[in-house]
Amino acid sequence: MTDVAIDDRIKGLVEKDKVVLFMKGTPIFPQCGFSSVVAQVLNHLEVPFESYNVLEDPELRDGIKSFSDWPTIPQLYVGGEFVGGCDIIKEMFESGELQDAFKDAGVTVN
Amino acid sequence: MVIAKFSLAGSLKKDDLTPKYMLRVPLTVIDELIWRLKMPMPIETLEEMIREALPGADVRIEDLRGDGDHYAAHVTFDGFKSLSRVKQHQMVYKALKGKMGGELHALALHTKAPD
Repeated sequence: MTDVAIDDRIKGLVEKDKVVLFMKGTPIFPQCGFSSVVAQVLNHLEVPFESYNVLEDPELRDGIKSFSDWPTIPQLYVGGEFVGGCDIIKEMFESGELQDAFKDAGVTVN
Repeated sequence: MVIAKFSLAGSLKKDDLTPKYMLRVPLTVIDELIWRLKMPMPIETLEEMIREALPGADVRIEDLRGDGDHYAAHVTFDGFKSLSRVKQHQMVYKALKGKMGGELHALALHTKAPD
């Protein structure tokens, strides 16, 4: 797949669902501590989300890094916008900004 | 014969040390092990790269596990004012010239503009 094709594919993924997490492993079986933290935050807030395991998809693993201009996984998208990786999500969760970002995107938060 | 075995030690390949059943370990675990064998990146290099790209920034780096591989960087920089966290982090990642996610395994980033 060309760069343009993978960009289009990712654009489709982040626009299809309101909350999308690109991670290593799955929410039930995360294969990286950083991915696990973000999945736990989402579960704690009882936010419905779609997740994609980049370890099973090398093209996605590389593609998402250039798509977001972000060198690491996990990556969280809300309402089609890149919100951040593990550090940012943790900080935003602790300050309440993450909950606001979900509400702004029309996602119900516990 | 024992001496001959010892002299082989320098040329041991990974497979020689790996019992056959270990080969069933998932690739991600092997990835992780290979990371551990890599040369650590000195704190000074990290600090220099960030300071060079963000002149006047206050940079403080902790080696979280003392292994030269898991760092936390606290960066306070005037130029961060009115930028989103994502933009702030992207500036630091750019300063590290592609080492983040590659040579640098884990760098927790905390960025802010001065109060």
